[in-house]
Amino acid sequence: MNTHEEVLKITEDLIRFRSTANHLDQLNACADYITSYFEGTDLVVTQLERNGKKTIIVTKGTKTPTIFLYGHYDVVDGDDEQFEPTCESDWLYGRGSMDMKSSVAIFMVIMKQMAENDFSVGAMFTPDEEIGGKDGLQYALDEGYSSRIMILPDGGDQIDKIVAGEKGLIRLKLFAKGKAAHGSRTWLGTSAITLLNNAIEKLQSLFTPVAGHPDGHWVHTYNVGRLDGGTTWNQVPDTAMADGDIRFTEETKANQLLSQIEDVLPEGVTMSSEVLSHGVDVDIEHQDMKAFVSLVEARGKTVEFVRTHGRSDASLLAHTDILPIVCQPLGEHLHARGERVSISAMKEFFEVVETYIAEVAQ
Amino acid sequence: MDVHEELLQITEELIRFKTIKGNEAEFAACRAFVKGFFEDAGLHVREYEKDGNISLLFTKSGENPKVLFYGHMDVVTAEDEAFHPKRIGDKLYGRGAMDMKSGVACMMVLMKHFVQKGADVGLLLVADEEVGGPNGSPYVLEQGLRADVVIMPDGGDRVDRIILKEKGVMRLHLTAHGTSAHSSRPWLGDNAFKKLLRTLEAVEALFVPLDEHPEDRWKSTFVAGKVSAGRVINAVPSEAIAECDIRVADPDTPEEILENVEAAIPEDVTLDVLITAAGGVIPEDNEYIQLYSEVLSNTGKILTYAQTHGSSDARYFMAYGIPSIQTQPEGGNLHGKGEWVSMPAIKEYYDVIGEYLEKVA
Repeated sequence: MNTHEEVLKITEDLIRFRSTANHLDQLNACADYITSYFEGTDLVVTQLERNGKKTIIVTKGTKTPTIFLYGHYDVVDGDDEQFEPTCESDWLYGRGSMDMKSSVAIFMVIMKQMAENDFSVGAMFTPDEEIGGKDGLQYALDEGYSSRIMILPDGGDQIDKIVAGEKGLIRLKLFAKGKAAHGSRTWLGTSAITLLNNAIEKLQSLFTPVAGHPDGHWVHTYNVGRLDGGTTWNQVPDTAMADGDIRFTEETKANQLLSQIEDVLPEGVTMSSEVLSHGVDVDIEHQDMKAFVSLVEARGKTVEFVRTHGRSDASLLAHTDILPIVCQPLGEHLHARGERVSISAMKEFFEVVETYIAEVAQ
Repeated sequence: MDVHEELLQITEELIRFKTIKGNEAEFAACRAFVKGFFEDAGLHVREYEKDGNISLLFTKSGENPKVLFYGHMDVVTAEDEAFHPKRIGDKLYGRGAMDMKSGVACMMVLMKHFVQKGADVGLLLVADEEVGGPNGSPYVLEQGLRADVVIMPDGGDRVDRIILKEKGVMRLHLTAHGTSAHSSRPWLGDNAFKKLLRTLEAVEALFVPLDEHPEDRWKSTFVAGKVSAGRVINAVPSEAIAECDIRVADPDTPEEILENVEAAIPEDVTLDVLITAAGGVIPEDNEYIQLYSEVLSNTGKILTYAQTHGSSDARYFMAYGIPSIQTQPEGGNLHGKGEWVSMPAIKEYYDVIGEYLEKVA
């Protein structure tokens, strides 16, 4: 098995773990799989555990190498069949194929290959990026793990789109309280679902409608991801809940936005919110960034700096001196059906990172 | 033992059977008790079984009777204590005291009495009214049971308040389909929840707003009782479902409402009809209603015509043009804690129906 076949096989193995936030056993099984890969090497493998979740840190003995390779092995949930990887021409399909088990596999193999040389590199694999990174990267940073550069292949959609900025993220829950009544006497009740719907419409009016978005969509957005109201068909529902998130551009302060929302909420509806990320602003003129860009461009590509809408663990580096390099092997449909990654792009990404380490992490 | 005490004791016996849907042994014991009551009366007993649900029909001749007593043996759930009847003051407490074991007791005694007198009466006892009654009344009607009038102590709240109109009911599920996407890029998705929200608004607009209802609320109504969308917080929901309850007020019909709903929903929202049951109306000037009114007025009471927003099995008989005398002994807290029936009202109901039977049977 050559290197790239090995990377592909590991990616497939990783996809088979249903390592979502609520499957602790699968998360830990996945962590053990990653850990055991480094058995028999001279690398130092540490499992940092918080709230039952494990971050695996692989180093050559120092907590502060020049480069940390970062990958998260948790995924969002999907249909059962997405946890059985399939290949079709240049595409590898499966939950986490793009986000981001292919990159975890690439970094596992690179790290093992680097065991014998002197390059100053480490890798960390975290369990909780999809739910905020508190027990993963944040914990590792708190424990003193740091580097000059961190490569996080968790954004950009392809290798030549490097993330320069990231939107901030607020988790917002709305609760509506109505009054129950039997479905045959609706006038005796107040539907919490109707109250909630009104509140959501009011909230949405604070955001630019999609049809009015500028190119690049660099505007605030609001999405309701989950909604639950009522318990049975023939009862006026007295409770309803909408769970979702707001993505905001860096020029807005989260608190300002939240107080605007509070002002438009109708009676009977309350909210709870948590600012999960204030966004990211990357120094794209940094010489370590330029070195990465020229390696990509040496392959005939033109690098574009992009601003992304999703939160990634890169936002946890906001108050550190670590330079985040965020780009990834070409992929599509993350968090959706048909998530896939390009197999040739995985190879390309592998080679670029390998060369970059050799150049920068002497 | 005088007849009043007999009525109370039979009611108490019936309350002791925990005839909640699913307690098959309790239903069997209850049936045996009623059969035992009629043991020497020389009646034809027919069992109608549909999907494990057993209805009993007692008749003198084995043919369709002129007057049919209707009762349901089943009750809604309650704590164990509610199945131990208690007499306190004028009230008899227990699950089914009002709904409708006191009514069944009255009809059992009346049945025996009028059969002895040679009247053409029958007694039907079903077992599934509280769960919508699909296997009870509709089935025996389908099998050919008919009568000129049905005595049904399952509504009206009093002996002098009669239910002439019942709303129909429909259970609809609306499912909106969209495309998922990560919540950081909602423009790549097609939000099923937003679509459902718009659809619910469009459907609701088909109904008279609650604040424009007439005083008697005799309007069709709509409520989305349960709505759910999405599985995770950070994705655009690709599916959203609303489980809706529509009550159909005459002269609206379920068919007409369904047609309007279908026209109001967009293409990528699917509609499933899980329950559709028409309501019913008995004309005020129906001869059997007028006769009841006369009998009642002889006792010094005036009959009030009423309608119900809920539904009973009466609507199934109405669909066959069979009028029902839907009045009952006064009581309270039906389906709730502390269900009771007035003990004097049981006797009053027994007397009024007895008078009525003298005229019609």
